[in-house]
Amino acid sequence: MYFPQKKTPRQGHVIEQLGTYDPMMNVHGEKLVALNTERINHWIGQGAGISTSCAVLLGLSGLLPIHPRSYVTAWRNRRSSAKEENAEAAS
Amino acid sequence: MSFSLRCFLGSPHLWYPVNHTAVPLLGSQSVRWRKPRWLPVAPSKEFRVPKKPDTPVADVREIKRLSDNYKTMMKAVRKHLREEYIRTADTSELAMQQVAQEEEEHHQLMEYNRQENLRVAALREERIRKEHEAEIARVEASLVKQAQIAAEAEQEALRIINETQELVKTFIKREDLERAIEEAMANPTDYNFALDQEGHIFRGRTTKPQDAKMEEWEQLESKVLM
Repeated sequence: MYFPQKKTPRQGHVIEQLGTYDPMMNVHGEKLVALNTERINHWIGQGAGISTSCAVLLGLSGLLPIHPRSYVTAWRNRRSSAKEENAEAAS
Repeated sequence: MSFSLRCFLGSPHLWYPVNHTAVPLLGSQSVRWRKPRWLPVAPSKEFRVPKKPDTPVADVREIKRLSDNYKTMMKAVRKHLREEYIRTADTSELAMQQVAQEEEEHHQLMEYNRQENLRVAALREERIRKEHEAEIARVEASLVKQAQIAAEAEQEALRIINETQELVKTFIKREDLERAIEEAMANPTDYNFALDQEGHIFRGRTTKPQDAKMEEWEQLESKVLM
């Protein structure tokens, strides 16, 4: 996670790094995230835009409200696991 | 033929060191292949209809509800953070430091300006003094010159007056007019003469050099400075 200037595209110039996110699970089954909450608050106050994936992570961390996408993935996971269970139970 | 698109995203100002030959490539993503637009649609893709996502209606409604709530909450969060920033910006440490720094800079610049003004004023005084002196000298010189010219003019005038006074003596007055005429008539000037290179003058229209002896030849008194 990093904070680029407003008008530059994704690969463009970075002003500040506000945290890290490792999408690969580690040995203990964890995906580690680090957040610099003070600076994030500062930049949001300055009018920074947040990408959806970033917003999802911040929601899960508690800084922002939970993103609708988290709810959607949650119920889809629940449904697919329920379906698997039913399929297993049936067979 | 290789098709490759590179989108260049402007020259970046980077805080980390970069090999500058690679700078034009930074932030550019290449696509290896794009089908040329003049090729027709492939048979396998001709009647392809992309699948629309078939979410259940209840899900769509739920998602809309969640998303509306989320947006409202996000607006509130942003507003709150913005206000907090505005409130604390003036009194924060960084802001104080910046203010102090700016004050310092201002004082320094004003001081520098004052010094510069003094220096330039001194130079200006000097220049004006020199110019003034030059002016005075010039005026005096011109006065002297004028006096000289006046003196010369006076001299010239006096000379002319004297000459004219001399000439006036030769003027014929009204009373002497008749006498002068009779004198002139009695003594006509004869322009029939010849000169030779030694300055001998032979008067008379038909006089030849052999008519008189060499010792008796008349010598012209030259009025021309040789």
